Amino acid sequence: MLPFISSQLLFYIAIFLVLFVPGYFLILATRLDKTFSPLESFVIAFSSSIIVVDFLVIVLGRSPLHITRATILGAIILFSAVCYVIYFFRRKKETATTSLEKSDYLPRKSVFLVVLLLLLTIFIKTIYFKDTIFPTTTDLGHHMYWAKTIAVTGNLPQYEKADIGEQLTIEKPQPIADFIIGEHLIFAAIALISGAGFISAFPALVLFLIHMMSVLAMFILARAVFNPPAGGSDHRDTIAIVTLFLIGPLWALASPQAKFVSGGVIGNTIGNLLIPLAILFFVRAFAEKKSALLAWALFISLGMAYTHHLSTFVFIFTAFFAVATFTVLNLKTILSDIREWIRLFLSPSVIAVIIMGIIFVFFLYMPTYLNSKAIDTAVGAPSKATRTGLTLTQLKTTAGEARFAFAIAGLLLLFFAKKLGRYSQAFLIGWIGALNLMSLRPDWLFVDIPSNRIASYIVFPTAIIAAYMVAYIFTAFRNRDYVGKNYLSPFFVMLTFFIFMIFIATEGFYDDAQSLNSASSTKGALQTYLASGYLAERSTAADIILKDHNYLAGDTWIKLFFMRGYNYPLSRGYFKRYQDDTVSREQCTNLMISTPNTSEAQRCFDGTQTDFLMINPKMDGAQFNRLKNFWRIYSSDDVGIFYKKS
Amino acid sequence: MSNKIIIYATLTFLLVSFVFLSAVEMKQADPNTKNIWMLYFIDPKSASLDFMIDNHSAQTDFHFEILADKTRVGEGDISIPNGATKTVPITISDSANKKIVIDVTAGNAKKEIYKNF
Repeated sequence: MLPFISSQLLFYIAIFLVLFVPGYFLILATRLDKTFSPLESFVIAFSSSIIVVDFLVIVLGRSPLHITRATILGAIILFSAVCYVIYFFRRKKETATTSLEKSDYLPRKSVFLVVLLLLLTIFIKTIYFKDTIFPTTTDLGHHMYWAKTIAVTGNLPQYEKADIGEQLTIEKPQPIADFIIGEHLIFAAIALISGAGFISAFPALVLFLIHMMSVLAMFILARAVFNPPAGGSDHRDTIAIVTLFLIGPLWALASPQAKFVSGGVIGNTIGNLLIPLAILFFVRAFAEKKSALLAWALFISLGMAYTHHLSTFVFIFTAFFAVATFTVLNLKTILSDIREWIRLFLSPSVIAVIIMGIIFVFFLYMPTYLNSKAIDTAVGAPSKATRTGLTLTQLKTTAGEARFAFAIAGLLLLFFAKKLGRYSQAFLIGWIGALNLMSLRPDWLFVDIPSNRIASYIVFPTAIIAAYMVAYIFTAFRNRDYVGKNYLSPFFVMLTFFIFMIFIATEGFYDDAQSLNSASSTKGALQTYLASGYLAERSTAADIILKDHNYLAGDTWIKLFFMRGYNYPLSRGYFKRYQDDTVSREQCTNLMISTPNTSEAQRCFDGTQTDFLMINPKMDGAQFNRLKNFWRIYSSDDVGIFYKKS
Repeated sequence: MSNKIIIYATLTFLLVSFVFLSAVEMKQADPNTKNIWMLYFIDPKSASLDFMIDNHSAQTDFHFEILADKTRVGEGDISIPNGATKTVPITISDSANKKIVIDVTAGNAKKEIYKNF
C-alpha cells in the first residue's frame, strides 16, 4: 500500500511541476492574468506548460547538461523564477490595476450546471478507462518507446528505424517522419521526475488529463467567441454550457475523445487542446487589437507545430478558410483590417515569438516532418482509397448525427449572425468549413491524408456550432418581442426544444453505451509482457527477435523491454499490408512466421539472422512444432517463444 | 470566485478518478489475479533441459513428464503456490538426435516445451 501511495504522490507532484508551474509563471510574466478569468488562466497555464516544457527539454537535449531529473527540475525552476522576476518588475511599473468585468464570471446557477456536467463527463470516461487503463494499445506503445528512449539516454531521440531491405538483411536505420518530438517530451519529463514506469497507468492518465483540458478549452472558447466586443451576447453562457454538454458527457467515448486517449493517439489529443486555444487567442487578438494576445496565439501555434503535424496542417487550413471567410464577409473594410493586422504583427512581442520560432526550427530542433518527402506524402492528389474523402453519411457518423444536423443549421445561421464579432464569425465558419471540405473533398485542396483522421477533428467545431444553434432556437423563441407576435405558443416551443435535446442526448448516450462493450485484452497483454521480460533477460543485441502483431496482445510494448531500436523486435504486421499493390513491401516478417519451412523463409532467416520468434501458439504454433531446427522454449496460454538453432 | 469552484471541482473529480484508475491498473497488472501459468527453459540457447514453472493460477499441483522421441523417460509432481516459481533440474543420459519434450499438466491445462537435438 505504501509504495502505491508514494508513487501516486510523486506522480501528482510531477504533473503539477511539468503541466502547471511553467505555464502559470509565463502567464504572470506576460500579465495574461489581467485579461483572462481564473478558469481561462488555468486552462492556458496547463496548455502553455506543455509547450514550455517541450522547449526547455529540447534546449537541455541540445546542451551538454542532458535530460535528467535534476536538469528538468532545474530548468523549470529557473524558467519560473525568471518569469516571476519579470512579473515582479512589471507589476511595480503598473500604476492602475484592472480587473475583469463582472460579466466575465459565470452566474452561480451556471457554475452548478458546469460542475455537474464535468462530474458526469469524468464519470463516464472513468468507467470506460477502467477496462482500458492497462497499457496495451498499439500507438501508445510506439510513443512510449520514444519517451523511454529520452528518459534512458538523456538525449533527444533520433527518429529512425531499421527495415529489412531487398537483400533480405536488416539495413542501416533510416529517418522516419511519423513521430514528432512534442508527443514524447512531457512523458519523458513526468517519468523522470516521478520515477513512474512507462508500462503503467501514467501515460493514459496524462492523456486523460490533457483531454479533459481540451473539453474545458472548448467551454472557454465558446464563452470567448460568443462574447463579441460590441454589446456582448446575452446567451454566451448558455452556448458554452450546451457546448460542454455536447462535447462532455455526450459522445464522451467516441473518437477523438476517450478512445483516442486509451488508444494513445497523443498528437491528436494534444492538438485538440491547442487548436481551440490558438483560435481563442487569434480571435481575441484581432478583435481586441492586442499584439500580446497575438504573440500568445503564435506561441501556441508554434507549440502545436512541435507536437503534431496533422493538427498543425488542419489548423493552417482553418486559418486560411477563416481569412477567406473574413475577406468575403468584410469586403468594405478589408484593406483597413489588413493594415491593422500588419501593425499587430510588427509589434515587439510578436516579432520576439517569431524569432524564437526561427531559432528553434533552424538552430535547435527541426520537426521531423519538415522534409520534402514527408510534405510530398501529405500534399497532392489523394494516393489511396482511404484518402479520397468520406461520404456525407460517414462524416455525420463521425461527428455524431444529431450534433452534426444542428451544426449544419448553425453554420447557415452564422453567415447572418450580425451581433457576433467579425473574427468569431470568420473563425467558426472557417473551422467547420475547412474540416468539412478536407474530409469530404480532399482532392479539391490537394490533401493526401487519411480522410477519417481529418474527420475526427470535426467533432469540436460541430459541438460549438451545434450549441450555438440549440441556444439560438431556445432563446430566440423566448425573446419577448417574438413571443409578443404570438407566432407559436411558448409551450409548443419549449416542448420542441426538449424533444430536440432528447434526440441529441439519446444518440450521444447511445454512442457511449456502444463503446463500453469493448472486451479487455489485459490478460493476453500481461502474458506478452512476462514473456518479453523472460526474453530480454536471456538474449543480447546480437539476437534478432520476430514477433507477431496480429495475434499477440500489447505487442508494440515489447520493444520497451529491450530498448534495442524502434524496429526491435521485428514485427509481422497485419496481413493486408503484405498484399498492398501500391507499395513494394518486404515479405520476410510474414514468411518467417506463416511458412517457416519454405525456402523463401529460410533465406529470410539467413539474411536477417532471426533466431527468436514470439507468437500466439494457438494461431501459429503448429507450423513450428513440425520443424526440427526450432525449439519451443517458452509456453503460456497466449504466448509461445521459439528458438531457431543455428 | 465562482470560476474557481469549477477548477477545484474538476481537479477533485480528476484526482478521485486517477486514484481509482491507478488502483485498477495496479490490480490488472498483477499476474496473480489472472489465473495463468508459464513453462520455460531456464537457458533457451544451450542444451540444458532445466526448466521453470511460473505459477500465477489457482492451481498448485503440477505434474510433469519428460518424453524422448515420444517415450517417457521421467516424470514427477511438484507443488507451487500462487505467485511462486520453481526450478526443475533435468538430466538425461542420451538425448542425441532426439526431441526432448517436457509436458506439464495442471488440472485440465497442459503446456509443453521442447528442444530438438
